[in-house]
Amino acid sequence: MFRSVARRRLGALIVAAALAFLCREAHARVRPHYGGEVRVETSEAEAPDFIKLLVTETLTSINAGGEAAPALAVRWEPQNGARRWRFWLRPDVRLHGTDMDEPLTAALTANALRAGLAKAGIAARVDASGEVVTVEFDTPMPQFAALLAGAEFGVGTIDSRGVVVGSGPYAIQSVAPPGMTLVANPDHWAGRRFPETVTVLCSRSAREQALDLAAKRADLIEVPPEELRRAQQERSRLSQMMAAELIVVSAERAGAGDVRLRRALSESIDRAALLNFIFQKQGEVSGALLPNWITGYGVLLPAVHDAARARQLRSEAGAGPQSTLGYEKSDAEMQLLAERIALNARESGIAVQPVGRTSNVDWLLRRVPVQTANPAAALAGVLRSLHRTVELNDATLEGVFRAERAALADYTAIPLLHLNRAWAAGERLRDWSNASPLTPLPAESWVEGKP
Amino acid sequence: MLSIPTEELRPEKRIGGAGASRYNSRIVRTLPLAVVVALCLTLPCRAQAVAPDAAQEFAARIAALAGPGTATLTTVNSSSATAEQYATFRKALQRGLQDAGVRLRQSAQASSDIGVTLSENVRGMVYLAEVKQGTETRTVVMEAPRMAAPPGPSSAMTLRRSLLVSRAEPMLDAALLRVGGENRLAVLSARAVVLYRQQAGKWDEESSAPITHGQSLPLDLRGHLVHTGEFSLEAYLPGTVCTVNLAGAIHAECRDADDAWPLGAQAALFNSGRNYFNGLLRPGFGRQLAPFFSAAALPYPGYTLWVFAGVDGEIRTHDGSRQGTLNARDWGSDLASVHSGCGGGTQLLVTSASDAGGHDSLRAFELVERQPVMTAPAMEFAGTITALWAAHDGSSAMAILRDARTATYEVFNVSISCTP
Repeated sequence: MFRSVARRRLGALIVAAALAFLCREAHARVRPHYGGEVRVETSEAEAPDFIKLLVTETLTSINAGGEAAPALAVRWEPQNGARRWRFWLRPDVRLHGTDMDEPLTAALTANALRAGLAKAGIAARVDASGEVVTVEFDTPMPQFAALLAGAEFGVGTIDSRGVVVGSGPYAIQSVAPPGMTLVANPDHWAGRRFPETVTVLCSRSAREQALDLAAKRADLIEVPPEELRRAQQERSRLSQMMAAELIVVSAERAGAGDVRLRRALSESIDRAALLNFIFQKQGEVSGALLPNWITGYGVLLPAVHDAARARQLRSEAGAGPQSTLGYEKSDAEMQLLAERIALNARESGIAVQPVGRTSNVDWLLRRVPVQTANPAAALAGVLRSLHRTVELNDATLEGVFRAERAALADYTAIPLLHLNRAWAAGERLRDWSNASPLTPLPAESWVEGKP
Repeated sequence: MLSIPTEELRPEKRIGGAGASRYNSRIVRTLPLAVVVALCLTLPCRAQAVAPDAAQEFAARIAALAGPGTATLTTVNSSSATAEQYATFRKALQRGLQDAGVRLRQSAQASSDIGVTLSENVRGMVYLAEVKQGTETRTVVMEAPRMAAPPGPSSAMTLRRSLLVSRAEPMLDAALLRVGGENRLAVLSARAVVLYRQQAGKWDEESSAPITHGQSLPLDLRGHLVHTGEFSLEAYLPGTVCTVNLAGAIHAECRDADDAWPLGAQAALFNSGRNYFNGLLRPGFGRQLAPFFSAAALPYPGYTLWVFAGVDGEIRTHDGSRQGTLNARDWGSDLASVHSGCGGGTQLLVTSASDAGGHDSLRAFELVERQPVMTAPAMEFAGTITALWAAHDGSSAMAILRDARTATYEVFNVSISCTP
């Protein structure tokens, strides 16, 4: 449950002091060096996806253009209108670990896929034969190849120590909650990674991360959206910033009013004010579930703020009972958002009561990470997070647009904002310019000197 | 002499000026200059100002919804396209609609209202249309190739470069050859040696020979092509050596071997599990040197001075009897010597750039009293130089550039021209 973690506002002085430390960078371009340790910290309770993917690889990956690309599968083929998918495994891939130096087989891959599909709530039949894994669905899954790049579909097993074993560029060396240490796999099929070890420390608050980076106890940390502006002003060493976190209000109960009332709530919300005052303009207002940098069609799903029409819609729907808007109690920004939304709603005659809980509510304010640049897979991931399904028969951009528009039509999901996300790195981490929230530790990165 | 179209170094040109509005920020970078440089310097090589076929197809799809008849057309630029590119797109769209039987009017009595937005996403341009007829609104969403920035003004520079070929696959080295009286370009990648033929000033792929190797290759893969005769090459990769026969159909015979890689008059053993030479040279200088990434020879009367870019960041020299160190901490890991005939005759080309912006540069140096003196201004590259090798005749160098934005690799031939 690494996403349900408290995000606290940092003290201004602490961040200024901590992030100012990151400004000093004057490296020349040199070829990567082998060895050293990358120390990663996260607020999540579990290792983030990019760390999981270092250990258990997926059949596909997503390239810079957002398309599915080969990983453990060297090729694939959709059949029967994308209801049946065949994946050909990369030859000579071996599992790593103390007692697991054995080939990665189609049978093991099929088992891992079954587990991943079950976890994702996707019904499918998975078979293995020779070097081919076949997955069959009752309905078309044109986005399946891209979907498989997600960390939940990582291929691995458990060794005699009870440790996860995969074929990735790193193996788990030790686990000592709340952290773990990974060690480079020298025989990785894509070539050995440069850092010898990667250590991960979970459940670190943003404040602790910033202090550790400043004190050179960490090399890679998260920067929350609300601190990005300050980090930029301080000229911190940041990854690409991407609008990679959706803030959305989702209807949790059928009783969240009829469609007119839900639309009235949507149009009552002044999204620009939310972005400007709570997140210091670090993101975009949005009427779409997916950020525009992925789709480009955001203009066709505009965010509408029309308090007069919201009042009219509410009047047509009739006065409903007061509804509750839940938020994660420990999330200070979500509390501010909820209070502001309730204020906007009240101005349009809609009674909404913010409550600091996430169950037994009419509406829920959610943070949903966008974890892939592939439009079809991103939409599937966001909808899965919202416990909604939508039929996607066509994985082209136009098909994704139609599916997203259909998902938004009944206003049970009201997108508000896409917040920028970024990571910050210490000065030891080199060749890091391609880093992004989706790939905070690019394959070409290496560490200089000793910590 | 091979005929290669050359491009003089041009000043950087910014895009996204007053005419380039954005719907919202696609990807915000900490150092946007790098992206700007990448856009400016790479795209003019490959892309057209507007994709006319895409605009035609887009118009046809709109016309299929609107049907023949009158329509109003409103267009909005929500992309980084310049005013000029946007105007070209708009003209192509109007022409396409008219060709498809849609008569554009400014009157409110038109049967359809067509709203078009020029947008973009991480992959390229996105053309959006809303076709309103009465109360019904239908949409068209279409992806198209990214538009190019117009070329900037030129100015005379000492370093010259020519873009030879561009590929999605990583390239390790390239060699310009004269085979059977014709110009050829051989390009080495992890999987093949690809032969190109020059036709009408352009390099077209002619044939390729697959490379086989029995072990996994290092991540920062390096490779080197060595010209061994009119019809033969040797290709060196970590742990693998291939003999490439160019007579008739190209063919490569590969074997697992840790043979020393020829570097001019020396040959150096490469660490097959890493990305550097381990410091053992043949014939060498009587003792093992520190591991190095690259080496280059500078001829002087009576001796040759070797320059090594060490794995530890030091730039070392060796004249056969004495070892020295250069004060060149801002040099990168790759260097090559180029005999230009200018100045002292031979210069060092070296990579040197901050790694913070995703761009790279080459500078030319001579050594005066064993210390580097820059003899040509830096040539900026919109990407990272992943390989730099001296050409086999020594008159130029081959630079492989990785453009992170387009995920392509480009081969440049870099030479030094004398300016009065």
